[in-house]
Amino acid sequence: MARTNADSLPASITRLPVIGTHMRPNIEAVLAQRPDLVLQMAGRKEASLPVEALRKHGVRVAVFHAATFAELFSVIRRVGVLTGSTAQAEAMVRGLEARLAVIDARISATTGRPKALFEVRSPNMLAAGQSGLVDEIIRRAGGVNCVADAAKFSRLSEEEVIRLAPEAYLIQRGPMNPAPLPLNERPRLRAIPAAVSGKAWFVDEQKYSRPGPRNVDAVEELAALLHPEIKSPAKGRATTKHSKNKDKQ
Amino acid sequence: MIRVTKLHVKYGRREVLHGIDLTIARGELVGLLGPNGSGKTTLIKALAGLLPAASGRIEIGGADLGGLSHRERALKISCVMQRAEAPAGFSVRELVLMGRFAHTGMLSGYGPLDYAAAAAALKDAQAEDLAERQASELSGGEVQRVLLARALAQGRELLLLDEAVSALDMARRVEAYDLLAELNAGGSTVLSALHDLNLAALYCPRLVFLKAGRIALDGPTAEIFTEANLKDLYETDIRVAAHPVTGAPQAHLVPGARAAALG
Amino acid sequence: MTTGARDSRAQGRDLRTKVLWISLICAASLVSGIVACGLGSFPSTPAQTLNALLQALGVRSGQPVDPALSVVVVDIRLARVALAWLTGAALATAGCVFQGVLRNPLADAFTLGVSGGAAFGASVAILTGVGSGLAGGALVDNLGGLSLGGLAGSAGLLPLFALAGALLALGAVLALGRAGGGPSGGMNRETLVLAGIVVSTFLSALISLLKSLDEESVSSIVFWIMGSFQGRGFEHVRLALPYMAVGLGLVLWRARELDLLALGEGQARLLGLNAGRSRLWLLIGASLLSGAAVAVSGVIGFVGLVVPHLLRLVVGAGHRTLLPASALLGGLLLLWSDVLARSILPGGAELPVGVVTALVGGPFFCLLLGKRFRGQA
Repeated sequence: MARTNADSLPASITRLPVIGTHMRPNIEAVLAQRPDLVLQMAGRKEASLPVEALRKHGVRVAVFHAATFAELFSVIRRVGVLTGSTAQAEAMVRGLEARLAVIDARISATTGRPKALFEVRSPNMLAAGQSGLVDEIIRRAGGVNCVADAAKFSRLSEEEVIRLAPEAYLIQRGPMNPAPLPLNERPRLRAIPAAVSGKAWFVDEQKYSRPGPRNVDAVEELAALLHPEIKSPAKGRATTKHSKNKDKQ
Repeated sequence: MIRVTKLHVKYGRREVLHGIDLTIARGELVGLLGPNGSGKTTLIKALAGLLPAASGRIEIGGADLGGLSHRERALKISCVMQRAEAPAGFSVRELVLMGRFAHTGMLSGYGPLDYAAAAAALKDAQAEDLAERQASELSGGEVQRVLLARALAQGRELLLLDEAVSALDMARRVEAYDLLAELNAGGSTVLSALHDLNLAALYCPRLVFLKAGRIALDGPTAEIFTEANLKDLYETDIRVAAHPVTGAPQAHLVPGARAAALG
Repeated sequence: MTTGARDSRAQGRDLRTKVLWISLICAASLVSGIVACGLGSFPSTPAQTLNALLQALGVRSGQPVDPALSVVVVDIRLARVALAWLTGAALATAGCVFQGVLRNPLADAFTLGVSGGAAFGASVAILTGVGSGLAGGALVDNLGGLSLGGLAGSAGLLPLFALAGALLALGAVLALGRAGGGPSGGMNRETLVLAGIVVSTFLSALISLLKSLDEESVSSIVFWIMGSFQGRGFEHVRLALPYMAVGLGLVLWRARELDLLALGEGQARLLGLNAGRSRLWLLIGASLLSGAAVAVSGVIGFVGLVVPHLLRLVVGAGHRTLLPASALLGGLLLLWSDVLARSILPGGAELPVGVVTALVGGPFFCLLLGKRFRGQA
């Protein structure tokens, strides 16, 4: 077993050998592992090149696409089949589905669907669009993605953000957005409802933007943030003043 | 006006001038002659401050040339070099006005005095008719007239010229040298490097001949412009006869030099 | 006396053409600035826009202005108008100076490696994480107590990194140019351009190296290199203005020297110019201008190339007119490029303004070149 440079979760896999980066894996390093199976996420154009190269060398490569929870669960099941752990995979999916159902039930009891904006990167702002898991995470957590762009990412002007008037503002923090400013330190966005009400939070890029079981954690976390009345353990970090000190540590 | 002592000048490692001693008094009109590659242009460039002296000393008006700032030097010396190009986008008037650069301060631009000096220089160089033309559209001869005008706008105390009239036709050449003689009569010191032996002999009371980086001859035209000297210098048969109007010595080539050389 | 009268008449006519052009561009800039404040995805009527602008100026008119609209019109659009105008002015002036100093019509911040240096500085900032989350207030605070810890941990040092990169690249180019400039110590223009190409090639290789080292930052670096005014505000204007003012002062002060340099080193020196020193100061001024521009906006091409070329056809090559005219027209051009960049795509999405200038400037520049060559033939 091996991992790419960027994979660090769960912590137990950091001891595994690295085969290069996710955009340009080192084919030689992959072959040196003599793998029975290579898993590759679809999406980026660059991703298909190493797949071709590995297939040419007789390596079995399974390419997955997970832009919805349904696709994510089917991926988990198929990986289960491919790795001979069908039952474990099935159990995992069942568990995840059950947790989503709980959230669904709680959310359907609430009223109000706040307009949310998910910031992928800033400055040169990129926001999550309609296609992709983030959009579904927001929807399942009882919000509405206010970015109407059908693509996965949308490059928005600040003016457009003000026009969209998001009531909740999510800033992902991680490799894509290494050091974003909290919303209350962005003077030009001071007038948007999320800034006025203080409904702005940093969230973990690994949890929201990487397909995996942790996306369900994301739904739980976001649901608690958007609808505090459902009383579920919230792990999000607020960017408002009273919690800023804790945030910096 | 000019005092050169033991001047050596190098291009890289190659020494081109090997110990030049030359004194030119205020108000002289001197022709600088010599075969190709004898160092005429190098000497003019060194006197104008464009080439540094490897050793030796150049004094201009009593001041060490090396100790002068660019601006101070430009106020003492006006120079017209051969093969100067005129860049696109400037009118002749603008180009001549640039001759006044050294006369202006860093903060003040060109003033009325400068515009007047440029206009006078254009008039004297008979380039008034070109004033509003684009400098890049001029013919070679016109460019040289304009550059002469610029040198006059810059100053008239000491004029250094390097083949400054070679691109002009015969009539313009005579006009230009008439102008130089006129300026000289008005007090300007003129040192002009040129190929044309007869033009030099016609206008310059004193000639300096360079050969292989050394001064070969230096003296009054009447004394040194002789058949024997010219034959020695140019290594070809040359006859000297008096000019039909002025009586100045004029050199005439003799056909058959090639056959004589092949011997 | 008659010649004097004719001289002054000719000069007067010449001057009138130049004054006419400059006042025309000035008026267009002013009108464009106000119009541009009314354009964008946030709906606003001209009356509302004017009202918001007037309120920002302290003029109280009848009805109060919606705070969101006020932020959009003043803090976003007006700030971008100001920054785009300044950046365009700086880039065009710098291009004009580079072309004059190098006597090369294709010289630009790019040819000299200055843009490459700035881009490299910015890439370093992005990679080490000090560059993201730019905030003017935070930046000014940080400048006060700039320590190593502050450097590593603070946000928004990207512009300073870019500026440092620009100046370092220029230093390297000048050193290389000097080393290859021959015994007289002068820099010949071919050597300088070659040195610029060497340095920018080396720097772009370094940028590629940085990108390979950290794939997650690639998109940040790429977007930054394309150039954009997205998310910029008055803090960026404040940041860039001092550098631009100093740079502009420096080159305008020496505008006449640029005329002399255009004649070539020999003639410039004969006319009393210390060509080496003059060139150095002019290049430093132009680097300040382009470094500051690149620092706040990323790499924006073609403005520095197209604007001076176009104006040379209209007002001539005399830099006392050409430099200010380039600044004014460069500002106007980039102002409208930015308006296009932020309003041409539907749904409030933005194009990098560098793409707009390249798309508009590329074909336009080809036309100019064609015209020039036909003119020479």
